[in-house]
Amino acid sequence: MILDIRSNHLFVISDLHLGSPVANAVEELLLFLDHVEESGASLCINGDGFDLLQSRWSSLIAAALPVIRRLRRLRSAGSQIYYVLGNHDIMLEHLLLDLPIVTAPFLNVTSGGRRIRIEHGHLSEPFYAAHPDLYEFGGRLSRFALFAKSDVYRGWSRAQLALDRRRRSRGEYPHHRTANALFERGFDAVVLGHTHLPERTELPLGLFVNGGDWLSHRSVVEVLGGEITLHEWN
Amino acid sequence: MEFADGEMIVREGDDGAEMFIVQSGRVVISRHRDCSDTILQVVERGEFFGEMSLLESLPRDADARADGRTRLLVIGPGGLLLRLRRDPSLALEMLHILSGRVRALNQRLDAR
Repeated sequence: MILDIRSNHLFVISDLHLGSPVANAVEELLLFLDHVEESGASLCINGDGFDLLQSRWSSLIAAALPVIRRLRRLRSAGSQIYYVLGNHDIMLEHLLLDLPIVTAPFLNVTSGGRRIRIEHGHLSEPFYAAHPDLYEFGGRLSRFALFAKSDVYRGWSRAQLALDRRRRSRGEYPHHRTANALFERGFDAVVLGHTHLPERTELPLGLFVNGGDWLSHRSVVEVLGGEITLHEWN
Repeated sequence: MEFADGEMIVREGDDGAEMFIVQSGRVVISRHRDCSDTILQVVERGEFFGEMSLLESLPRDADARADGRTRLLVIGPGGLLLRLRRDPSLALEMLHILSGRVRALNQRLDAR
């Protein structure tokens, strides 16, 4: 298992949810992968790239195949590709082993002398940590609602945002707590995904970044010589 | 805990039940035998040492000295459990490093 890597130039994207009925960014994603190839950088997909919980096989294959082809091309061009597993794709682990990419539960990246932790972030979610089976069951159930009416995702996003704000106002934001535990262990920055809410915040002990998603956003985290920026791909 | 350059952190044979994670600086692990010091390992930022005493409740196996101004996170047995609960990736990192150490020892044995 590879956990520690060095990379001067790395792009991090997360929560593509390819195959899910609300995924709508395959064409833009392919253009983005072209950009990664042109820049000679490495790529990290930080969890939930392929969605096995909320997809039909037909939609998953239709969305994933062109992306997998482009990933193979990217790897042939010399870019390293890392895949950090999330909660919607953990069962893909063995299939992903056949791709020319490194799969990992999290990555410790050294870039420009800075130590950066990249992980999906679902384990920071208190409900997921306490009841992973129930969380997965809920995810599977909501698949039917999503296929019936994709507006359900908008409702879920609003609920997520409201929960996020409430936790922050109480000073109980679990993802910041995870980041703080990692800063204490000598990390300078923590990059998570999972919540679909892009964020770049300087906390007292280090830099917290959430890579957002490729459903409502097209967020890209770029690590260049240890500097971390968050922007929208267009 | 902060240590000045060259300051001793633990001594071989000391009792102790904490492990340490290097937050900044670095730590040299060495053993004193036959009037000379042998450096076993240099522990860099983010890495840990002292876990053998924590896990096995045995005296320290080697000396640890700060190399440059060094700040350490100290974790005791109860604190380790709580930290693993909050940050399970620490357990995987510890296993990863311990596995690497076993492999290195096996290779040294094979080379003999």
